[in-house]
Amino acid sequence: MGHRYRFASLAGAIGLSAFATAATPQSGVPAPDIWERPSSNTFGSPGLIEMPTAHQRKDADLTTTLSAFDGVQRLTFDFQITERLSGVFRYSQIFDYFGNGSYYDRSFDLRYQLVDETDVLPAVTVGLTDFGGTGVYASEYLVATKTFGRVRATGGIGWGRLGSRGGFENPLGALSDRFKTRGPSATGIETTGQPDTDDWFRGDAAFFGGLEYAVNDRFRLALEYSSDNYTAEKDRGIFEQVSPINIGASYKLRNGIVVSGAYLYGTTAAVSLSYPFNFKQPRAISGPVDPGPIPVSVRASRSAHDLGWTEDNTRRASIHQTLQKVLPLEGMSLDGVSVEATQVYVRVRPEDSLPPARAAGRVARILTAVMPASVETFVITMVSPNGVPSSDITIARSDLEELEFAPDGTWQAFARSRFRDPYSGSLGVTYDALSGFSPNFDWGVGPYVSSSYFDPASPVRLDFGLEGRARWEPVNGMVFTGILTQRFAGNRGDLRESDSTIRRVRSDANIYIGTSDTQLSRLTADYYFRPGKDLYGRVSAGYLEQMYGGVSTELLWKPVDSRLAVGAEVNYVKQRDFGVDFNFQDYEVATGHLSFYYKAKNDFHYQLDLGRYLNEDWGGTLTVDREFDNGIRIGAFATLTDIPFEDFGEGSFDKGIRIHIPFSTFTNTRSEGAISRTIRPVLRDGGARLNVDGRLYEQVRDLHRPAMQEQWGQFLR
Amino acid sequence: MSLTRILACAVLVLSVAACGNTSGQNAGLNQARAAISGLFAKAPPRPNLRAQVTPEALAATQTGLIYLDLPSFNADSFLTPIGRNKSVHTWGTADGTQVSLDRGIITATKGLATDLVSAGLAEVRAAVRGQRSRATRVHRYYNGENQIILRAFVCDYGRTSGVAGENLAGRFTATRVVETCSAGGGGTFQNTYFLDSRGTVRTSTQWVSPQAGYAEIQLLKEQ
Repeated sequence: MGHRYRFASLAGAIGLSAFATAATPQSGVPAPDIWERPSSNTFGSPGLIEMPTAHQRKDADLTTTLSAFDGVQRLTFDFQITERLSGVFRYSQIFDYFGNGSYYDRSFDLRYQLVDETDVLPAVTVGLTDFGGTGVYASEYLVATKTFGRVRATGGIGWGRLGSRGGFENPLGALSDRFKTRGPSATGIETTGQPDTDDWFRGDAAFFGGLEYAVNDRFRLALEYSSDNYTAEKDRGIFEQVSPINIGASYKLRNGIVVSGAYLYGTTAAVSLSYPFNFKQPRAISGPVDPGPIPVSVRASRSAHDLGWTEDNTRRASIHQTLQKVLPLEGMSLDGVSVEATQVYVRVRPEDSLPPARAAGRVARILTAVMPASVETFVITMVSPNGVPSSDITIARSDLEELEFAPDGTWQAFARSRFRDPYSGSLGVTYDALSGFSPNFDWGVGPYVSSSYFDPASPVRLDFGLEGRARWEPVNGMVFTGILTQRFAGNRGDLRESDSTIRRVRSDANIYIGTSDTQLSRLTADYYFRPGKDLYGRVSAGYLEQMYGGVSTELLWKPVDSRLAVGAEVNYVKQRDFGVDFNFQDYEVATGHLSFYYKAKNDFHYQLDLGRYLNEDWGGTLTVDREFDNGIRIGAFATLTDIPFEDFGEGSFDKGIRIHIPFSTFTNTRSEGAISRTIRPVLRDGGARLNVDGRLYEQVRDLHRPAMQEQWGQFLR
Repeated sequence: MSLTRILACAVLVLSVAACGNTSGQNAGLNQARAAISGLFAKAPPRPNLRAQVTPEALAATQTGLIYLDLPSFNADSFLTPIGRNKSVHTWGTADGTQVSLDRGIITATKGLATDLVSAGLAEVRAAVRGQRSRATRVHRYYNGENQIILRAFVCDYGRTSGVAGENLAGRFTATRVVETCSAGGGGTFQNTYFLDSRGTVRTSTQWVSPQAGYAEIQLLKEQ
């Protein structure tokens, strides 16, 4: 009947529809919320036109805003960290702020909602704008917003920039005279990067406010009184301000982009584009859909007593053959099978793209189809990508039969499954000779793009080229890896030269990139092993990364059901030659850390590293990430070491934000790869860590109970 | 280096097909490329599956067969039996689209972009058989984080006997059951089942999920 053809088009159509339709075919859908999300101001924060308002965005929104007017452009990323707390990273280009052409400014904000709006109370938020960096936009505010149907009214008090028009003596002066004066505004040459806590809420204060009117759920009008006098801009002749009244309008397009226009200062027009992306609800693009799993095969009653097969070697051989054939189709490789009369041990290694919980479910389904009826207990050993057995999941076959279509089957299956450390479980099992690990060799060649940000001469620099990779695993856990890159084009080699006065352990990136187009980025031998219960080990040697080669060793303690892990890493490395070939420079360093990892129940993940960094500096790094169950992660880190701020140079200490978005969140299939970026305002030589690949924690933790629990919804998928 | 040259090289590099022996290695990139080319490609004309159902074709079919139409996706297909667990029969296509029916009522789907994870049907089954006039349904779906979320509905039933039922396999005297469900939040849907004289659901229109909308299911040949 030629229906294969139809199936393909069915899958394609499904993908397209997922992108195109959000509306339900139901009647009686509630009317859209006219205040679904607060408007963005030209600073990219929730606000009127230039002034802030008090409502928060939706939890986990990443809102990107681009705004432009009269010699000023701002690109802002605003992330709603929790329901009450949000953080902003802003990159601004201001023409002639410090003379001699464009000035690029990086600023960070924090906002915290103190009071939720109720029938009686307004929403109240306190905010710090540009609290570190050069302080061009430094201001603090306390703002209240109340909704009256289609109208929202906002009033607030501001300090710093927001206290510069119509300012009066700081009411906080009643608490302490210290509040009455504020330091001078930014000069742009000071060593910055530290929060200017001594200036927060200091100096004169002023009132600001405004009104917003929602014509419908797409179109809004705004009017505000600004308490920013733009003294710095006026003095420098960047723009004129003749009126403190700004007016604006915004329109939300069907695709979610908000287009706004405003008339500012009585002199100039501004335009901005704003787009919210919610990490909890990524939108799938068109494309194929992963096929469903094989259904659970239900045994005939009383068949479980038949043990005749145990003597049948042909039957055993066929079990192994089937598993070896079927598991790769589901995105897993088979590392071993041991079949007993009533129990089977299966050791599987899921591909990166396959959520481990879904992998476990698919293995279990396949086992119901393949195993003789007397085999009641399935022990599935999950192996990390580099061959470390990390968890034994025990599942009863009769539970699968019972729960396949039970309304709450997925969670009942979790409640009835058991997690155990393979060290005291399946590691002692002798796997059948016919099954098991076979040496594997993988290779691939593909394009790459690498990027650098915030170089004053060119804010985004890119390189393009080809990357070849090879990976050989001759015995389980012993991995040889080589990566060779060939750059075709790009301008990252023209990055500004380092002015670092301390040993340049990282800041010579421009020379590393620019010296040779062909680079041996990595050539390593790694050995992964299990030294004891709850313990994992790694030894790596070779050219570990672009700038360093040597030996790296690691020991990790991570019980299978624990949210806490502790790791110790010790490395002895030598700085590589600028050509990234086989040669080294004359700099050797022993570096290493004691690391504490904690996965909290509320999506947050904490990591604290204490130890010695590449510049022989001692200190610690705190990293906080928000991790979504769909694999998206976003976080920030900061490192303090014994290198003085003056010696560190611009930025004072190492810090940055990082984001990881797997491609699979945009597709309906399990897709390899991710957009993964660490963004630092500036890369310098203090608090620098070795970039060794294959660190144990990231490999092991996804296969343990806390992470599996968060993904368990996919067990029967 | 000029910007134009950089862009030209970027295009060149991205158009180089990734290769290697690892199957999924650049799946994301390839998929992005496929999605982009898909924007400019015309959808192939849809063959008329309904016209392919003839008495001869059905007689020649060795297994059970259902016809599934998903108007929201502008797609239809034939499904054959692939599994059975007590009263639930799972039907599937070769590319992994699956519908699980509990005595003719959809209890789960797989391989759609927006699947029905499970539907609690204990009361619904009795109501469709005429043993009660009101039932609750609990549907489970995946949200954007692949977590399972619940949607509960209250459904009322109307029955009419002796109506003319029809599907692609032929006509039959039917009992028509109309199920009207609503959720607290204001969402509603209406399912229709045509049961034959033995009480088997032969033709039905059932709501699956907000994105997948309604599915029309015709039982053409029993297992």
